[in-house]
Amino acid sequence: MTPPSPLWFLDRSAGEVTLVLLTVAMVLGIVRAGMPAFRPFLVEGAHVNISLLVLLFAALHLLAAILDPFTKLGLADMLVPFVSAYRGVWMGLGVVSAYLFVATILLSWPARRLPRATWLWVHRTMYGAWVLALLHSLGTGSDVRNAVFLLLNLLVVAVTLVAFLAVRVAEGYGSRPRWSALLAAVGVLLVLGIGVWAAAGPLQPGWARSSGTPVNLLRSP
Amino acid sequence: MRDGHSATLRRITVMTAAAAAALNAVLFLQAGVQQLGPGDFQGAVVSALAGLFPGSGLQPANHPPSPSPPGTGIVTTGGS
Repeated sequence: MTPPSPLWFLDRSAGEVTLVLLTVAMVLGIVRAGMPAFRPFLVEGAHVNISLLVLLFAALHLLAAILDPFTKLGLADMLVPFVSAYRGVWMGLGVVSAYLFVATILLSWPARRLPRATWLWVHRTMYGAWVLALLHSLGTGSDVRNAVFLLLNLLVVAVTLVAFLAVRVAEGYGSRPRWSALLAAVGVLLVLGIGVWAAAGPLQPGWARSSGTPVNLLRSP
Repeated sequence: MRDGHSATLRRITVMTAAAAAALNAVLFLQAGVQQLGPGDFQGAVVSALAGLFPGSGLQPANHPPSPSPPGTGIVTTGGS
């Protein structure tokens, strides 16, 4: 069997960097929304530019996956959710996340194309897209038990949760305390739930087989 | 004022891009070395580069070693 090619590792590293950059872009978006008076030009500019960097690394992630001869992923695996023979469910979550992200960018940049309220709700789907990207990273990622990747995943979750609670939830607490408390509870429970699932699934030996890795790839070095 | 902010924003963007590229390189090496071992990973990278740039003189790692010319083999002797 063909051993993994360097493109397979480039695919994995670019995927993780995409998640890290997506987190930075989202935290800047949270700061922009929750603290509108705080350096608006810089925060919004960095939010936009880093979102475009996310696109760049996501494109590298996809290109390396398509060109890599090891997993034999095709364009259909990248474009149609949940059809891939390689960890189909977890791959599909990444595809859906990418569609949400691209839609949000297209509707926001270079000019806002929707009424503000609609645009705001489209923008808020990025919370969901980020969760899907994280689940994709944990479920599909071959490096989930690699210490460096694991540390980065813990870091992005911690930073996002802190920003969400300390800026977004805290900002709304004065005017809508019940709604804010509910949002905080949902955020914390979601993170706990993902943590429990990761500990019982992707972090356990045998996850490669149970997550839907084709049998011929399971014998790889 | 806006020019100063623009320069700062440009610096932030360039630094973030450079940091992302560096992180990508570290993770690439980390994942490859952990899965294949340093020797095999280096061999895989060299093979891939040799495939991309055939005239570069890079030797694909999985080629068998060339036979040594006659009379140059290492001779081991027994203890004295």
